[in-house]
Amino acid sequence: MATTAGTLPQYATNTGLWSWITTVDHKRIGTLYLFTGFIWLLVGGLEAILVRTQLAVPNSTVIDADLYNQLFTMHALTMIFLAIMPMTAAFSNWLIPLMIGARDVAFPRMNALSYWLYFFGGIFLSSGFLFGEAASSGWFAYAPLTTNQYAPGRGMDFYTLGLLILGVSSMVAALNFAVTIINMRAPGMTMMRLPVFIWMTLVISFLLFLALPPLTVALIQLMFDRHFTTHFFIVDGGGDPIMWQHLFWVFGHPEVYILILPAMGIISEVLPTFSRKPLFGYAAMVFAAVAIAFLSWAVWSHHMFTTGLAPVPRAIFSANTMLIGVPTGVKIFNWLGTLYGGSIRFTTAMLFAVSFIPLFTIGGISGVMHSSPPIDSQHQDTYMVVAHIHYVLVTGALIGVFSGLFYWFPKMFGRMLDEGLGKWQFWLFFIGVNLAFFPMHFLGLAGMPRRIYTYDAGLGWDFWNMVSTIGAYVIGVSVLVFIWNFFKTMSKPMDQPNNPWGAPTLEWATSSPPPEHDFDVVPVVRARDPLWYDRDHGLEQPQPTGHEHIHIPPPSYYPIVMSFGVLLMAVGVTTSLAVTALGIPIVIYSVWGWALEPTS
Amino acid sequence: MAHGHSGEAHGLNPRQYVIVFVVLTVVTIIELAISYTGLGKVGLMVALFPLSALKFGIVVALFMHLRFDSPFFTKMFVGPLVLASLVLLALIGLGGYDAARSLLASS
Amino acid sequence: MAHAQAAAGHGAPVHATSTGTDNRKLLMWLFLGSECLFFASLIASHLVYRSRQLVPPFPFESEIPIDVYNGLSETVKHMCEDLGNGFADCHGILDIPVTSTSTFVLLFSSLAMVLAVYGAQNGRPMMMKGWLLATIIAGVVFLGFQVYEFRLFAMEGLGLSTNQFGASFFVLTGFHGTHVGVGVLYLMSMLAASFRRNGLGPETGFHIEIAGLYWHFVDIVWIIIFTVVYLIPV
Repeated sequence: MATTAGTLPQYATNTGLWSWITTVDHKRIGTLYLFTGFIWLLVGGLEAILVRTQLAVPNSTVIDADLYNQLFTMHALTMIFLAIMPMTAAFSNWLIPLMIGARDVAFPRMNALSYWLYFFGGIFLSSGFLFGEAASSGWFAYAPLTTNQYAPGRGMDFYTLGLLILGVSSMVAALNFAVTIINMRAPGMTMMRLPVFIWMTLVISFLLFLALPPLTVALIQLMFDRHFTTHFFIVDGGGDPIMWQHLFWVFGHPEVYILILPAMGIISEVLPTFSRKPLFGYAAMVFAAVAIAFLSWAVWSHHMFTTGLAPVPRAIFSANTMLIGVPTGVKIFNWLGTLYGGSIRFTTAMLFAVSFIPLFTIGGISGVMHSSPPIDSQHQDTYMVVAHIHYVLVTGALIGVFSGLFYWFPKMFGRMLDEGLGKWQFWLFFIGVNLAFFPMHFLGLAGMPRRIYTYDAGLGWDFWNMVSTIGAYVIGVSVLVFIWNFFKTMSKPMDQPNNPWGAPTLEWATSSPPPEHDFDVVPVVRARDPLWYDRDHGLEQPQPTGHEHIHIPPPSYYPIVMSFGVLLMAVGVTTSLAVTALGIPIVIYSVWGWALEPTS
Repeated sequence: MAHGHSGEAHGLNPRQYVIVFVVLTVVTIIELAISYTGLGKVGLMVALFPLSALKFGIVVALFMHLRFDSPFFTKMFVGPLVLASLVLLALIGLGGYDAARSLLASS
Repeated sequence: MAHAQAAAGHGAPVHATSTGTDNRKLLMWLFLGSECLFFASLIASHLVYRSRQLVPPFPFESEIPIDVYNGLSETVKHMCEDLGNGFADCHGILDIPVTSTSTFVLLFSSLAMVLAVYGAQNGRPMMMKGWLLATIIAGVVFLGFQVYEFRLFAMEGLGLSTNQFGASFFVLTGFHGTHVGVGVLYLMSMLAASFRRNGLGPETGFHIEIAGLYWHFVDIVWIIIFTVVYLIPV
């Protein structure tokens, strides 16, 4: 497929459901990730609202206890695996090629595969609700709550198989992103000129494909315990529930950095643009992220201080956990240094980014508190821990996602989100999260255990639980404002120039939205903030010279077929192995079709 | 070959590959012989781990061409390999606390 | 810029990559790095669990208290012998000579694989096809040994639920065997494709080399498993 130089309208000749199913365009896949992730964000939010409604007053019976267990479990799984990770993956998909000056990712069809695996995996993971038996053992699924004895029914099977599918999806995406960033950079885009968001994506890609295998092993062992009579985590047969915790948290702790680092990358792009000065301490920022990634492998047992860990490991994991505060602190001071002396514009994106700094710091500080084993023994399984994770993931990761949405929306959709509504959304969100999550600190210190279905009046928990529930509703309203804003904006015509914000990175050098081939001419990078450097030195990006052959990978339906085969294999384990047997040839067929499919 | 890259003369020639295979076989036979000597657990570990590592290294460097290929691949593989070894040791140390103690007691 | 001169190994048009390494080869190496973590977790679980079981079959010869012996079910009791001093002696279930043989078979398959890669990269299609076939046969023979071993253990009374050694042993070596099986399918696909009119196309050497990386990796995992699981009696 050859295109002449000049901008083709991106979707004009390329519309319809079939084109979306077979697309291998990183921008369209990014959009698919974004919308799917947002829908799951709404589902996860609804689950949270139901949980908070149940907890608003003492001795409440709005929902029954079993459903409550399913809701808090699925809330965590939905938010982590189906909402935040995919929405950050949406930004990675959209931005990696645009920011490094490439025309697509290294493996476009693998990109589609990771999306469709995520699509089916998400449906499978949540399908337990349809049968009234979603996973209900908490998102980290500690044995023995997950054994056949304590978790009869198929809830845990949806969990193990759903996470295995989502794991393959993340693995495929991570390998693809890593190769793309390492190998597909435009001329002049050295590693130390990469935008910080790209650096963060590279770091989490490595974390993902290295941390997922231990989880895979744990899930396989759990599946064997449930279906094939082993006793890996069942004490009666000589098993060890603590091994599940070790294997899970070997994955689980890198995972929390997988969730937060992209958000840190997003605000590292937003803050310089709206401070109109380059990021302070770029190299320190990059090395801090790499240091966090390394340390994240040596802290997992701080989730397990109360399991009877020996004194020496306890001391090591405690010290490493405290140590991780150092590179995180480096990042916080660099963001403050970026703001300092800048000519600041408080757009909605900037408001979200600036509020990230203090709110994330609150979460970080309570994290350092938990790193001390004696204090952790008091906090374990109380609302203090719930407060900590929500300050890190909601006012950290999610706030970063919203900041990125307002910032890159013009690039993605050619339209500017309404700033007035955006500010309404921001302030409602800001008030809502603090109302919802700050009281959880008090509740935790007052001894309220997490995951309890209800509580008696007069324990000193009534007031703050009500406040927290009100906060949850305020967050819900702020998200509704965003949806309104989205539809209002999409009804307007596309009118955005290449670089509406005056930003420094390469994605703003092409049209909004970009043409299917991203760049008419592969850009040249001369400095770290290329567009600002060109502007200040009166340089131009190279112009199209006439007819140029641009290779665009053709669409393919093998990714969705293969994902469907994988889905069947998982469905078979919960229904009949005949379905699994049907899935295997579909997967093999699509592997062969994929390998033999011409790509040019 | 029409395409230079694919036919690039890196790696050993067939004769050398056979010699490498013979070396690997001999090392394996030595390992087997050691395992029958009745050394204690710790003695066997001290004797066998370096030999396995040697075999591992020979296959990766010569059969998998890391010795002749871009050093970048070596970095990309050795990093995760070291990480995997450390995670393995940590998991054995943490999960097998009792096992480690009984091992030390019996040796 | 460090825009490498080395061709990326694509057919025409040749795309130079930022590090001069081929995308697909880099993908395979990163994937193998990930696999290291997968097998490290499996091996760690096996080592943690296999010293914990109280009932035979044991991997290596062990003594158990006589009251444990008396409580054993008939399916495993035959493995032990009352010593008359308050203990019973149970023989180890691992058959080192048989597994050593299969280890040599897998080692030979690595030689065959590397010769197939040599043939592919040096324009000798018959050499490539012959050694690919030899690799496949060796892989299938290795799997045959594994089936034989699993059946033997099952007949001696070792199942997934018998004890922690059984569970972790079958899962570890089973997943290694699955990797070998996938490798056999991979190589069979390559061999079949090489008989098409255009064979594997202009990048034959490259495709076979990538397949070889996977195959050799499965082999080095077995090198570790053989030493840790079979030779060292922990």
